[in-house]
Amino acid sequence: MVDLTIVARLVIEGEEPEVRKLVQQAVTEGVTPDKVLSEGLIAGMNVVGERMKKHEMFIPEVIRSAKAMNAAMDFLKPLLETEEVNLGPKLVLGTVKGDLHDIGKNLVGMMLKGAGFQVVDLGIGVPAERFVQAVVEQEATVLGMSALLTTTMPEMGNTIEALKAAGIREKVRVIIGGAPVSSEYANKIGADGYARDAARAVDKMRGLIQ
Amino acid sequence: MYGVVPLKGRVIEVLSRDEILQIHQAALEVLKDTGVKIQHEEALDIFKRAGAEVEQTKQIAHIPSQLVEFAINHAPRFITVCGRNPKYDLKSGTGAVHFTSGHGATFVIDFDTGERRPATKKDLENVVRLHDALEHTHLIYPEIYPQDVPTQALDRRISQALLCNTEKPVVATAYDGKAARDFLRMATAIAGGEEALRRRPMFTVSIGVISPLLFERDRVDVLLEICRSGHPFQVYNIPSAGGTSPATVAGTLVMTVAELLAGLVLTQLVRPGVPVRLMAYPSIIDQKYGCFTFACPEKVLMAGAMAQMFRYYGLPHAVHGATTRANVLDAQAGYETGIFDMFTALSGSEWIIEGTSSALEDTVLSVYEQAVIGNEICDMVYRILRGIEVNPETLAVDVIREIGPGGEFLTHPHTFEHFKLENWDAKLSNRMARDEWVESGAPDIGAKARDEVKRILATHHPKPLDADVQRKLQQIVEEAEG
Repeated sequence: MVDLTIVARLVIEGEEPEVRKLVQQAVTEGVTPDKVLSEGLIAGMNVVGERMKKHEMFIPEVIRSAKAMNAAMDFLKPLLETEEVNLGPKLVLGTVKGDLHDIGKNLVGMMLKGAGFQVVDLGIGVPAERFVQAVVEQEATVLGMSALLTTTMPEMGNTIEALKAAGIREKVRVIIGGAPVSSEYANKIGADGYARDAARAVDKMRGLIQ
Repeated sequence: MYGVVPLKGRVIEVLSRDEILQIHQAALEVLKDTGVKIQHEEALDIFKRAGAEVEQTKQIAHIPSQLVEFAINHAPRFITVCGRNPKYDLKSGTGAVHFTSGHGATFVIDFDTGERRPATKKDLENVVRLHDALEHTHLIYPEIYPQDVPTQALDRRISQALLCNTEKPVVATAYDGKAARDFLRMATAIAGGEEALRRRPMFTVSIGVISPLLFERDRVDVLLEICRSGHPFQVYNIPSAGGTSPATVAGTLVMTVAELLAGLVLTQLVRPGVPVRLMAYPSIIDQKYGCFTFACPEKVLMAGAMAQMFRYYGLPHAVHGATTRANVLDAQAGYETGIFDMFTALSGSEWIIEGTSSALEDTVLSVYEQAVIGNEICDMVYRILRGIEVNPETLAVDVIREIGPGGEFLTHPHTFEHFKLENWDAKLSNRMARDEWVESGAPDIGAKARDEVKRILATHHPKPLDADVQRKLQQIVEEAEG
């Protein structure tokens, strides 16, 4: 019988082939996919997130862990879907219009997937109307926006205004991040939260949807 | 890896080949014409028998260049000093740069109260234990001279504290011939016999030449005792430009070289082949404040020049690195120690004295936190010395092609494979963004170093000496205290 704590440890160590192998084996042995997900993969990524916050893990190591998790998810996801298991809260993510910076945003996406979120990544240079459209179509509960430039920051406020105009502002929690952004700025433009790094983004989103 | 060869052997040279030869010739001229004063009849006789012209009443020995040549030819090219733990053994002649603790503080900032007070034996023990834990302290000097123990056996007390609180190699100071014999007894007790001590020389004894050109009687006694035993020895000097040596940097270099070579000649006449390390501390008098200081750019220029002179002679050596005139842990303490460690390391000296020292106030005041900061400086210096790895894998043309314009390298396996070796890992220096730093209590470098000192002193305990060896050391100290 596969020990799911070993799966968690291998996620922390970023050992992609071993994680995949053990996850497949666990499912073959009859462990339910959602149990493998929560007690193996997410449990491992939770530790990664904590260590990242304390700077006990380096970013490339965190990424390796997230890659190991995502590879195992590719295998698990169809099984979870057929069993109609709750796939977790859905988040629409993107870098705002005029801004092409996506390294930090991608890291946020990886960590959120690792934490059990469904992430719909719209990519870079996303205009307000596309964010609104995606929130509606995906029935997302959270919208995450990123900006690196002080010149593109105002697009975050514009998107929030567009959500209001579409009448869906109350349906979605909005969280923002990026180098020039702060919690004060989040308050100013009427966002629900701000996180300064990917690990804290996970904490913040978990807090927001409770 | 212990120590790093600077930039794959490319070091900063402050002197041209011609200038090295000019300084060498000038030093030979000083040794022959002016000579050195030796307040020791037996040593004068040794010089006389070897062919030096001796002015008996003035106690001056005029040392001819043949004797200098003889000494340079007989002194070993390499020296090894051993720690109690063999993993800390230090070899010279590898081209690697090493850092040592500081030497001689008589005051401390009390770690608990913050008060400036005379240093105690407990402070010495704490600082030695701190250096035992610090990665980049490779050799430990008596960084503190305690003021709360009887002066007649201070040197034995210091050695006892060194030997009991570190497994790394140590350097002792002996005030007279009897102290030198006591040190050999201590080292023999720890090594487990004379033969064992010969195989693994536990510590170096060091004496200073008094500038200008004076060998004081008790110090010569120490030299004779230690060199006759064949134990590794160190001769150092501290000429100060404009005070005890010429105001010119070049003239002070001539003095530095002449004095150390005179010491070397005596060691090799006493016992040809005895391992000796020469240590140069030349510095200046600040003519505005009328004080001696190590914290000056001329000092590191001279350190770089002396490293070149020693390489020219092919002799084991040490020069002076980080020191600061700052009275508190401030930016001056940071820039002076940082610049001096960096420059002396780039000049390729084998051993850099004071590299990780806890001392401020030009070595007078020990502040524990400064040792931890010094260790961080040396850590950064070593990264610079390691230089740049250039090969097809690190040139990464394939990775650049794969990622292409507009992509990112953060998530590529090449980054995971290389970042740890390429990137310096800041252990103490701030890398937090402001809001996280504020949340963590907004610590400055002093506060962070303080936490690290606390951690080390609470958790780090070098292997104790066997109880009977400790008793033996205590007995030697008590005999000397009478």
